[in-house]
Amino acid sequence: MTPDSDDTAVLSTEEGWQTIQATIHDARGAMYTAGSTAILLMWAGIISAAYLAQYAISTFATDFAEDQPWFPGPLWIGFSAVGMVGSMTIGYRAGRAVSTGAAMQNAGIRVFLYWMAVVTAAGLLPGAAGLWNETRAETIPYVLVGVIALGYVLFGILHKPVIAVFGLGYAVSFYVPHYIFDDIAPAVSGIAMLALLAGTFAWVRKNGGW
Amino acid sequence: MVNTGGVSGSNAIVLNETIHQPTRLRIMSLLVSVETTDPIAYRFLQNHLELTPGNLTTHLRKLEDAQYVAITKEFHGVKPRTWVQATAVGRNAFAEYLTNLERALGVRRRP
Repeated sequence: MTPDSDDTAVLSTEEGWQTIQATIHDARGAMYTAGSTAILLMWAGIISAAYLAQYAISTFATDFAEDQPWFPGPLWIGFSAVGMVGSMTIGYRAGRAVSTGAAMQNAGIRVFLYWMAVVTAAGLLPGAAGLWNETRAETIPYVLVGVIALGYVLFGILHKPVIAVFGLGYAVSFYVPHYIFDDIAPAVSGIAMLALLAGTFAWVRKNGGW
Repeated sequence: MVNTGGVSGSNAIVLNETIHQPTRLRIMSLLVSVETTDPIAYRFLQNHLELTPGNLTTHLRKLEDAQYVAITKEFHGVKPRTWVQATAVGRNAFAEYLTNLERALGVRRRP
């Protein structure tokens, strides 16, 4: 805590200038990242659950999986819808804890548009690469996860390093199991994501910055 | 007023000492970093600037006495919430302080 509760603290002109710069920079950064760590952790939980659900259906409900081979699509859409609503709720509440004004709303809109652009790119790029067909559809997640991980990394570089590290972890927890394992890759990715979630949660709890 | 010693004689640059104090400068910088009418949550100010409630309240009172900030309270359900906002007087004083600071540093730069 800052001890300068009285007026005796001395501030040089250069220190004054640096104080203004740093405070404004930090304040604007805080607006863009309000609730972001909690949102990321929530997504890690949702993605883990989706991977594990996909693996469970493929393994234990084989008849269903063979009759409905497209089931991962609706499954992921359902989980993603929960994540979108959860993200908006957490972001709105976190934003209200900072300010109720236009600056906070503008920051929220920009962050929303950023992620919409990332998700749109993740959806369009496989189409542009000609992957939306029966023979190559299974490679779509490789592009999709890569684009979303890139979104995390760029956002983290701009606003909060832990988010960039999380993005790298997200990519590793998907690509490594999928290149090493075969059928059990979704389960391994789900478990790896849970480990990433636990690690990030512990780090944030220790260092703050929700 | 704080004399910077940057310019001698009758043209000496003086800085508003209500603002030119480490904690109050951070408070004012944060409040003017948002749009004119935006209120900032007291709890956010306290956490973001890493101040104790007593410390923050003391400095806010000085800024409020100078009419640089306005403090409002509301209830969100049963939870009280305090909002802090830079007034027009405060924004003008900060802009003037910034101009004087730039002159004292001998440069023309804005954050």
